[in-house]
Formats: sequence, structure tokens, C-alpha cells
Amino acid sequence: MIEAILANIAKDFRIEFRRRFAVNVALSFAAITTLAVSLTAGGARLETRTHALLFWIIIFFSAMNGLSHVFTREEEEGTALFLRTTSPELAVFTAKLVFNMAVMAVIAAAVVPLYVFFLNVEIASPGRFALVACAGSAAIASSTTALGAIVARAGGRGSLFTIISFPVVLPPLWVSIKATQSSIAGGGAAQSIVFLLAFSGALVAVSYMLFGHIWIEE
Amino acid sequence: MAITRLVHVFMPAAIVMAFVYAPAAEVLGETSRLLYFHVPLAWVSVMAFAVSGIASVAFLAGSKGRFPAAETTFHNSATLGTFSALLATATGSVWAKLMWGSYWNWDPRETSIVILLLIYFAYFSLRSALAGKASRGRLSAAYLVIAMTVMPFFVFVIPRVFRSLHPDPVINPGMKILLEPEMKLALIVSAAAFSLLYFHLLRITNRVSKIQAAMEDLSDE
Amino acid sequence: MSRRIFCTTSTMTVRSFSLDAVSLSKSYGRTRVFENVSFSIATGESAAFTGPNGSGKSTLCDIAAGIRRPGRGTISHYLNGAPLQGESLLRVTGLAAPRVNPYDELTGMENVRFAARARGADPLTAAPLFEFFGLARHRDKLLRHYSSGMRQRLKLILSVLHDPALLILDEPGANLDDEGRWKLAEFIELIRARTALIIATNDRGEAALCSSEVRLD
Repeated sequence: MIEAILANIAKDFRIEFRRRFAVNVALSFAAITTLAVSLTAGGARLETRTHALLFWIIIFFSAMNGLSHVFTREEEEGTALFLRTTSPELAVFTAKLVFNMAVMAVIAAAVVPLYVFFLNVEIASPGRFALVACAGSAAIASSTTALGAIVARAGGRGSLFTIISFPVVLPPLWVSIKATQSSIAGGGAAQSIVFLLAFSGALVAVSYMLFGHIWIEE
Repeated sequence: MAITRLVHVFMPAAIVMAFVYAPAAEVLGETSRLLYFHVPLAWVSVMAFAVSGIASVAFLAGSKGRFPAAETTFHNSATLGTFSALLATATGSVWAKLMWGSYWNWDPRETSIVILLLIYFAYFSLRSALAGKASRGRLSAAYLVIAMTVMPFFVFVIPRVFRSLHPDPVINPGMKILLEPEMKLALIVSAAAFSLLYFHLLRITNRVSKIQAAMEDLSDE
Repeated sequence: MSRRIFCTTSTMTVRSFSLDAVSLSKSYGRTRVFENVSFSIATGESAAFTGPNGSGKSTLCDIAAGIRRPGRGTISHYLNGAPLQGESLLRVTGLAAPRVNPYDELTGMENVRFAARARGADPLTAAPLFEFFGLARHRDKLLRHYSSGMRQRLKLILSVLHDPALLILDEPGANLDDEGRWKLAEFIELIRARTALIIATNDRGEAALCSSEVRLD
């Protein structure tokens, strides 16, 4: 099974490296939105709360632009059946989850420096800020991978993924915003991070249990 | 049918009690009577969601085709839940205007009902995107299960993120509405009436779905 | 030749596979694809699924391979007496079909390595297969640059590289030239004795490669 998981991870990363579709779309969106925000803010001093809000809105929508790709691609290119005949379900889901985590990591790695630089944010606890960014991004990836699989089987229209993901992503989004606000101002974020990890764990567990039902051909 | 008879008894009783039996509240006056409709509607929308979630699990767990009828249950319950949530929002909004002066305030309960409506909206969008596909039942059930899993996290987070305007009538001492025994009774009767109405409507819509499916099968022969 | 192609230790072990399908039916919405189809197949046996276009041969192949659920009826797979399901079934089944497409962005060898690792088989067994099917020169080309005939040969390689106990070929001769078809027939003779073989086809010649027939219409 480990071998199957690794084979799938290698396959997904190799294809993405050659096509660079998901990463390009997500990164372009992240960069353009961050720049748009900073240009239209025009150097105005924003409240910590507003910064936290904008930061996570950018991350959320960049995620919506990049995370459904890994499943939709299989359906659109006609390789989904091939995948079903070669790889066990668990391996497929695990590899796609790892892939989406990597996409979120790339998004966060791009948005954090761009945002902090262009909007002149002074972060009191940078370590905590980074941790919250990681935990929040992980929560988004954990909860939307199964949703991406559902949307891919439903025809994969881009806005459908955002519509069904938004209610599910809302709790970690709120908590991440509060925790980010707190870490910019120098407060604590430990409870929030625990919440985010618990959320990720619960959603991943449920996704594993549901994946067999989502993935099978009818 | 037993439930139908009970509805015929309870609903008129609830309405009469709401307008005649229960006294007007101290501060709010006659507007407090909205309580007997708003709270049961909100309660029914939550119950409908729970029923949808459980039926979805049953549908998926019986994957050898043991509970195919569960699909109509979770879908019809979602429809009833949506109507209930919309009515709860409307009555709550009117009441908010009368009590606190503005139609919408983003307090925890108001936020919760909006989220429930968002989930229902997402569910129906997914259903229509899956129209005609054999996998529609499984995929929409899977979404409801995921939404159900997220619920406890909402319950935990919302009060911590949004300050509260909602009074907690029974427990909280420093609140605005004190419930006298007659009011409590009227509220309980009303809650029972609306719950019975929900189950009654669920039975009817399930039967309609079954008949529709049978008709379609017949028209193919 | 058999020893050279499948040089793993499993080659010489005797295996006994069986598939039992009882009263299979499949409908999509209002359209009934097929109804009440029953068949059995065991190691060393072969069956051809025949019927006009749209009669459901491909759907039946998917169901036989265990990747699609039948609407009604039951299907069960056994290896040496033990029932097979999910992952265990995947490891012993090979399916080559028009709708089962490998990855365009990977090379032939990368696709093979992926399929082998995912099924727990040794990728090295594929090298002689590339030779046999005449794709050795194209091993490291991206699949998007393959011709349709080359693609079909690669699909065949991908379906057999793990020495499956159940091999299902849906229109295997499609896009193949005479040389390709001849190689396919030769390969089938090599593995016939230790495989349960299903071929879905409209071609009388291909159907003749099988000892029994399941007609769908």
C-alpha cells in the first residue's frame, strides 16, 4: 500500500511539474489579488483585523482556484478509469491529499511574503503567524480534497467547487483569521492551532471513510 | 394516519395558545407572540438537517442497496429544512427589528441559520449539477455527511467569534424575556406541533417521490 | 517465452481463479443496457463478449473487472478459494479498454513503472514486454507523442505487466496493424493456460480466440 501511495504521489507531482497547471493558476491568482489589494489600499494604514481578513480571503480564493484541479484533471483527461484499475482507493486519496497540501504550501509561501511586504504589516509574533498560516492552510486542504473528488464526478465546474467548499471551510477560516489577528498584535494562538489541527484530523478521517463511495464508478 | 390526526389537534392548539392562552410579555408586549413560531421553526430546521445527515449515512452504509429509500428521505428532509430555515430567518428578522431596532445583527444564532442555508444551497447546487447521473444519490449523501461532520465545529466556534444578542430564555438570569408557565406551555405545544407537521410533510413528500418513481418505471414498460 | 517475460517467482506457482456472474443487469436512468446476463470463467478458460455497438460490452467489462457496480445481480471473484475484493482484486486483474487511458504527460516507461508500483508488481518485468510488443524504441517518449497503434500496444502492456489472473481486453485489436494483431494473438497463446481471459469485441477473428461466448443484444 505504501508503495502504491508513493507511486501515486510521484505520478501526480511529476505531471504537475510538467504541466504546472494547478500551481500556475493558484499562484497567479494569489499574486494578482495581493497586488490588487495593496494597490487599491494606496498605502493606507489598516487595522490588524482587516489585515487578517484580507490575508485569509486571498488564501481562500487562491485555494478555490487550485485545489479541485487534481481530481478534475483525471476526469477531463480520461485517465480516471486507468487510475481506478491500477491503484487502491486509499492510495489515490492519500496522494491527492498530499498534493493539495503541497499546493496550499506553495500558495501560503507566495502570499505571506507578498502580503507582508506590500501592505507593510508589522508582525509581533512571526513564528506564531507562520504556524497559523500553516495550520489554516492544512485545514483548508484537508476538508476540500474529498469535495474536489465529488465535484470532479459532477462535471467539475469551477464555481461549484467554491459553492460547496465555502460552508465547510468557514470554521477554520474564522479561527485562522482570529488567530492571525492575534499573532500580528502579539497575542496567543495555541488554542486556535489546536482547533485547526482537530478540524483537519476530523475531516481527513471522514473523507477516508467516504472516499470509497465517491470514487467508485456507477 | 396517526401523525395527521395529531397535527390536526396540535397545530390549532398551538395557534390558539400562542394568541390567546399565553399572556403578552412584560417589555415586548404582543410582539412576543412571534416566539411561538420563530423558535419551533428554527428547531425544525435543525432537526431536518439531523434527519438528512442520518439518512445520508444510512444510504451510504447500506451500499448493497439495503436502504435505497433513504435517498428520498434525506432529499425531502433537506427541502423541508430549507423552507423551515427560510421561515425561521424571516420571522427572526421581523422580531429583531421590533425588539432591537434592526433587521440583521450577525449574532451567533442568526449566523448559524445563515450557514445552514448556505449548506442547503450548496447541497441543491450539487444535486442539480448531478442531474441525470446514477451517482447522484451517493455523491449528495457524501456531501451531507461532510456537512454534518463540520456542524460540531460550528457550534464550538460561532459563540466565540460573534457576540450574542439572543436571549436565552430558560437558563440565563440577566436576559430580557422571562417565561411564565403559560408561555412555556404554549412554546412546548408549538414546538410539538411544528415537529409533527415536519414529520407529516416528510411522509407525504416521501410518498409522492415513491409514486413518481413508480410512474416513471411504468412508463418505460 | 513465458519464463522470460514473467521472471518473478510467481510464474510457476499454480493458481486457480474463478469469476461467477449471476443475473447481471445494468440501466442508466431510463435506458436498460443489458439484462439477466450470467456467466462463469476460470483459469485456463476464455470468454468473448459479443454484440452490436451500444449493447453494453464495455460496461460488462468494467463490472467483470470490479470497477463498476452492477445494477442488479451478483458477481464474485475467487483466487485459490479466497474471495477477492477491492485492493486484492485490483492486483490480479488487468483491463485494457478504449476508455482506460494512461497518462499523456508521462513516458511509456513512467506509466509502466507507476502501474507496477501501484499494484505491488516489479517494474522490471515490463522490459521484455516492451521488446515483445515492439515499443522498446519508444519507451522513454511522452505518451502524447505516441501514435494510436503505439498507444494501444502500451495499454496492452499495462494490462499484463503484473501477470494478472483475470485479463479483460475490450476491443484489443483496435488501432493495431497486422503485426500488432499477430503479436497480440501470440501473447494470448502464451498466457492462456494460466489466465482467465475475457475479450469484448465485434471482430469475429478476435472472438474466435475464445472458447466460449456471451452474447449481448
